[in-house]
Amino acid sequence: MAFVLDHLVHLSILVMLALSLNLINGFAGMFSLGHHGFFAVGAYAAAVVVFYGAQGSVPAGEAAVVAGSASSILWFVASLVVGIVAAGIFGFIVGVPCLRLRGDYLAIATLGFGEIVRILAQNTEAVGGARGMEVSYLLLERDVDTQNEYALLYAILVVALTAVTFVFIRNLIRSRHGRSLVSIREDEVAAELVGINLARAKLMAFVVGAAFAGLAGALYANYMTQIEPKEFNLIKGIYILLFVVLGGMGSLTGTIIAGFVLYVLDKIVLNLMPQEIQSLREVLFALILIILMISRPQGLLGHKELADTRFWQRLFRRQRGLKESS
Amino acid sequence: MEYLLDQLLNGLSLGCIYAFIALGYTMVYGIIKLINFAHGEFFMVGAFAGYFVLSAAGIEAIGLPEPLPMILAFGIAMLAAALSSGVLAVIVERLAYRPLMGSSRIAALLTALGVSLFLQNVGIQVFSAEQRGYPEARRYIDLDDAADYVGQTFPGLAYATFTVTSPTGKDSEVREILAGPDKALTADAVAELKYKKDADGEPVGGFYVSSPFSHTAKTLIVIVSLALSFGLLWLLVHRTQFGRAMRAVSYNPEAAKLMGIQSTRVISMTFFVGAFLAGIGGIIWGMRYGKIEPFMGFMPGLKAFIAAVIGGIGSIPGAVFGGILLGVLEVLIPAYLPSEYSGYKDAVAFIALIAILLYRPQGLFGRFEGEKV
Amino acid sequence: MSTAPAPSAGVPVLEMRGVTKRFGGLTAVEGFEARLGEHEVVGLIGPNGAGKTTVFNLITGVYELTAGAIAVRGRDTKGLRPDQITSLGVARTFQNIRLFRRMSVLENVQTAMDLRLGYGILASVLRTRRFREREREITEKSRALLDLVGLADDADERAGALAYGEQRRLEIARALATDPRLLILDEPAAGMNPQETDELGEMLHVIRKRHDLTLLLIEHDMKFVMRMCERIIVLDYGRIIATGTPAEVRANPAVIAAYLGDEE
Ligand SMILES: Nc1ncnc2c1ncn2[C@@H]1O[C@H](COP(=O)(O)OP(=O)(O)OP(=O)(O)O)[C@@H](O)[C@H]1O
Ligand SMILES: [Mg+2]
Repeated sequence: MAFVLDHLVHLSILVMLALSLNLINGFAGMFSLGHHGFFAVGAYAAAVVVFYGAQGSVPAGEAAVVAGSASSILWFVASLVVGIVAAGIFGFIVGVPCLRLRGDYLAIATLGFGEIVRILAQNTEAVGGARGMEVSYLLLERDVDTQNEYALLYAILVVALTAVTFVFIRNLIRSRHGRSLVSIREDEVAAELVGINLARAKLMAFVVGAAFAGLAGALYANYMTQIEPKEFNLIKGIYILLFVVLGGMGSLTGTIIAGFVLYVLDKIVLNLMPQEIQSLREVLFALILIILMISRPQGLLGHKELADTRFWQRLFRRQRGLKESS
Repeated sequence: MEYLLDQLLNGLSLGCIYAFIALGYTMVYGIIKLINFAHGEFFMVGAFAGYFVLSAAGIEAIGLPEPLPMILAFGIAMLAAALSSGVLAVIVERLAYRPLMGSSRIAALLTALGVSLFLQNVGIQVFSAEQRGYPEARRYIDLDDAADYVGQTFPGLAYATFTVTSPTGKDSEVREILAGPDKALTADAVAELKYKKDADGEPVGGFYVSSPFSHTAKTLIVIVSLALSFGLLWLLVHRTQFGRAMRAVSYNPEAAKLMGIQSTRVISMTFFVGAFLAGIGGIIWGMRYGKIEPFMGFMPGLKAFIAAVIGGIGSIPGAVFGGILLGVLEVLIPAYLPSEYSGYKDAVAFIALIAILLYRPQGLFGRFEGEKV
Repeated sequence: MSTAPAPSAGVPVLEMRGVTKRFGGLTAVEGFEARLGEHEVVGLIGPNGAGKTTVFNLITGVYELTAGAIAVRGRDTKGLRPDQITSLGVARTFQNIRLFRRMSVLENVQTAMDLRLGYGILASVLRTRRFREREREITEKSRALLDLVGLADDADERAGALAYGEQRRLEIARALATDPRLLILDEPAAGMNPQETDELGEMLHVIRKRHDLTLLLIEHDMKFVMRMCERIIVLDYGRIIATGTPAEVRANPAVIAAYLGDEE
């Protein structure tokens, strides 16, 4: 049970991260390779709140924070909020220079940003340097007895927040804000000439995308006992990018399906394989990426949502969304 | 002052390696507008190819005066490195990139990232993830011929490696210096060597003579080889049929096709030439920094790409200039910062990148291509 | 910025003085002058590469001026971004069609109403009443515009899947969605057959009346220009070589020389 819930927590966090990346990459068409940087900022910001706030505020003489107490839960919520805000601010800071960049250059600059975040974390003693930070449990006492209870509580929380992320981004996309972003993706010059404020739209995408990545990071930090700078590397960025690309850039449901499939293949099916195959994990991972790009570069669903696919419509006998073009 | 000069030379040789890699990046980008992330892995494979050639054996003397045999050894290893990188690049282009012709830039970029990861991890499977010490170019003298050298001095060091067993029964490898520039080889030293065993318990058959070049001399060699390669590349691009075809395809692929240029061959050749240079960079890196591993290509590859962007992507002189500039900055800035900041060294390149993209996105040597509406 | 200044009598819709644009060594437009009053229909003609599209790009702020000044309804556009200039009441179409190809036809038009839409992120996310009302309103308006250009039945089609002539009309509908006073059209009849060209002319007349527009159009089809426009400006090598009524321009020797072997 705890095993399934643990995987569910990890998968949900990755999906939340990938959904927010899809807003930037898929809908707004800005090819960012630094999303793991926002994830790291959220995780570190939350860890700092827990470490310096919750642990720091324990009165002298008392042993440690009492998980599950009212103040601990408040600190927990505060750590999430700070994670969101910090990452959102970083999104703004990264977004401003990126306004002037397009395509490959944007990709490289954001990749550079992700690296800079990691290098900063690695060299800043206040956040533990290369050792990383410890994050104590706040939400509930977690020991052998409450293991299952804790996992269940956390899984419900994370899944609910991932659902919130999904609805938030979907609603945003199906509004003037989403139309602006997609129009920029389709033709930046034409978008600006029909009155779209490019800077505002792009910054909005960066800030909202980063903020949800920050939430994912904060949830991650609170769940793990320990975060280390080296976890927040480019591989992580590419891992979630794979969710987005496999699912279809510009398809939120695609991201969720692809995330589920890839995660199950990676963490569960692969673990049942003989050791020799397991050691090839990274090779396979890279191979899937290459073959996928060559054979189906638009991903599973392209830019459609699941409900707009012919498969779904045949299943439920209803017509909606765009007509097939050919 | 001397410190500055030292650091400047260090920066220069690092910069030259970046330049070797950046040249390939810039050529490939110039022609198919692809950031070939796998280029750093071509560099890695070059370094490994050089490693295997250099550690296979030293070069026999063949009666040449010093330091020619050493240069020959190095030359052969360099050629092996360059060729294996080049061939790998052609294969990668054929299998992974060519099928993507005409698909989106993002698909191409992701494929390139995938190829990069793939080669790194195949590298781990084949070479293991461990760091390896890089062998120096050296010349091998068989003990049977050693008598001829007794009484001579050597421009480099003459040394033998063998295994000794300590009183506690533990084996360890030692390296004993037999002779050098101001110490002649003695008959005793040779005689003693006959009784030494190597790690497998076999008698050591001979000894090595190392490269006679000082650190500074090596740096100069790196710079000269970059200058030579740059010169040859310039001739290749501006004075040959292939160069003309390459420029035509990069300027306007459609028109080039109409003019009967086989762009697939030109692209393949461009990958080959670019990776050839990266392979040379790989072996130089190994010699200069002494350590290689399968992940070694990623960071230098990325930095070299940044160098290419700084110089102006698509510009060959730009790649060389950008590489050198970045190398020097990367060495000099941390050298003059308080030591607690030295960990931030890797951030220098990325900050430089973002700065140049903001203030001169076309790079120092690039032309600005505004969009026509 | 969102509400354009009220048009007062006497203030030209568009005024250009000494407008010059250089690309490196190439002077694409030099000393361009024009003054467009309300409801005027003006043609901009000239051989290929004369600088016509460049003039449009200068008006809409895509390119920065090298010298000179442009005022839209009395407001100097110097330093304004293209979207700000659009909000002053200028809309355009493109010589090479630039639709949002993977968006639906309806969405293409809705996107261009963003300017006048004013609801925030929270309204979008929470689907507030304001959001629903504004969206319903612009959907209705957008459908009316599609109806006007004859694309009402294709609202849910992908824009990229439309036929060529339909795409040109969708561009016009999209431009109208920004609620312009001045509509500038870059070769609207290019690639159309004579019948389609006629229909386009009629459509433009209707649109001009209904939307109270000033039109400035580039066109190579001389018959179309002569019939549509009250006044014509002729460019050659970036300079104005003639202006006047269609009849005057047609009789002008400089124009004939510029077009010799090019048209007519
Ligand atoms: N962004 C740019 N950079 C450099 N030169 C440009 C740019 N835009 C236009 N030009 C040049 O300016 C000149 C005028 O071009 P423009 O497109 O305005 O001509 P045009 O009159 O619209 O021609 P056509 O009838 O072919 O559309 C041409 O020589 C063109 O090459
Ligand atoms: Mg034109």
